[in-house]
Amino acid sequence: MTSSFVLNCSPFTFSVETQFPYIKTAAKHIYGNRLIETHEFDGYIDYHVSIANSKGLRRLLKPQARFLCEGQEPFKPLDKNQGYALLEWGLNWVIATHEFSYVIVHSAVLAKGDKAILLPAPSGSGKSTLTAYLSNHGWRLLSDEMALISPADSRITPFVRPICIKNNAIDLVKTWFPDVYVSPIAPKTHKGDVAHMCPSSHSVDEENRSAEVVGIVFPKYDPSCFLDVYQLDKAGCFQGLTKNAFNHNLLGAVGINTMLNLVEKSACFEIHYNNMSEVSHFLDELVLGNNCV
Amino acid sequence: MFKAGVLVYPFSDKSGVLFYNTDTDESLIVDATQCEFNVSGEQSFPVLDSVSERINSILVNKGFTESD
Repeated sequence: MTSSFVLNCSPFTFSVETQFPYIKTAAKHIYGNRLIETHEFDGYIDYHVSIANSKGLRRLLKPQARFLCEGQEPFKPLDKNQGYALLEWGLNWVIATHEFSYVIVHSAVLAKGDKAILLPAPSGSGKSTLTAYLSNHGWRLLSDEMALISPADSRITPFVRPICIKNNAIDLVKTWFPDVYVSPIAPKTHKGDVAHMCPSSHSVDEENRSAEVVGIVFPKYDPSCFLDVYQLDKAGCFQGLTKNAFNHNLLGAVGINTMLNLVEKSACFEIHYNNMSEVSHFLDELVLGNNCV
Repeated sequence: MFKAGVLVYPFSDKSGVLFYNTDTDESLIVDATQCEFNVSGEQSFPVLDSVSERINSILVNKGFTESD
């Protein structure tokens, strides 16, 4: 049986169809009242996606989850227990490959008030664990996965969705925040065991409040470092940012000028850390405009 | 002479100069000391006056400029 619902997740709206009931249940926990029954929604849908079961005999013997969007299937089918993770990754893919009204960078974004810090980092750097900690210690989550940068003013538009936590961090986060919903674990994905953590309610409440970037910080978890801070020059920061960018090259001069503007007006750092609280204090100083070196 | 669509940007902290070809997506950041900018003109932004011979040959090879 297929169920459908709408994820009204500013600034985008997704229509989702699925043949796996647990996916809707998990989405309801994660998105709360931003999940709307299809028949109750009369607004504009930006993207139609589905998590479908595999076809033929396989659907009975070994069901698999397939992500589909507007007739495209960008990923190989995954085990049905990985279906919720596939939905979240699919929504990331949809935005990263279809949206050209923003310059998009693979980065977490956290803010105090309307002052935001970009945390661009590749997978495995501890970005999402850090984001989970900070967004439950006074920081507003704008995104765990992608910074939506407006070319006109280089401000960040929030895209508040769950935080993707992996492997050992799953138990860690559950211990830190026992009251926060974490989706069922998708075991043995290409990223290891994966779960999605509900964003904080104060972040969702302010999902329409854009923020100005004041700092770009490249984080790297290092168990041997309490907190080491390295100031980056503008050229180095620009290079780091473009390595994590999805679409700046497709936007030509607009994309490059947006990135340059962002780098020029931000303080740029690389941090090696193992203490989240120290990182939080460091970022506090950054949004206050204090000299952090 | 730069080709149309080439963007030249000196970073404000003098950490480098970016050359970016918007047509080919080719980019290059070079040492700022290898480039001279004219900041005394009527423009409110620095204009590239000249680059060292070594940088010039790189720019030609990478298709940012036409060879003379």
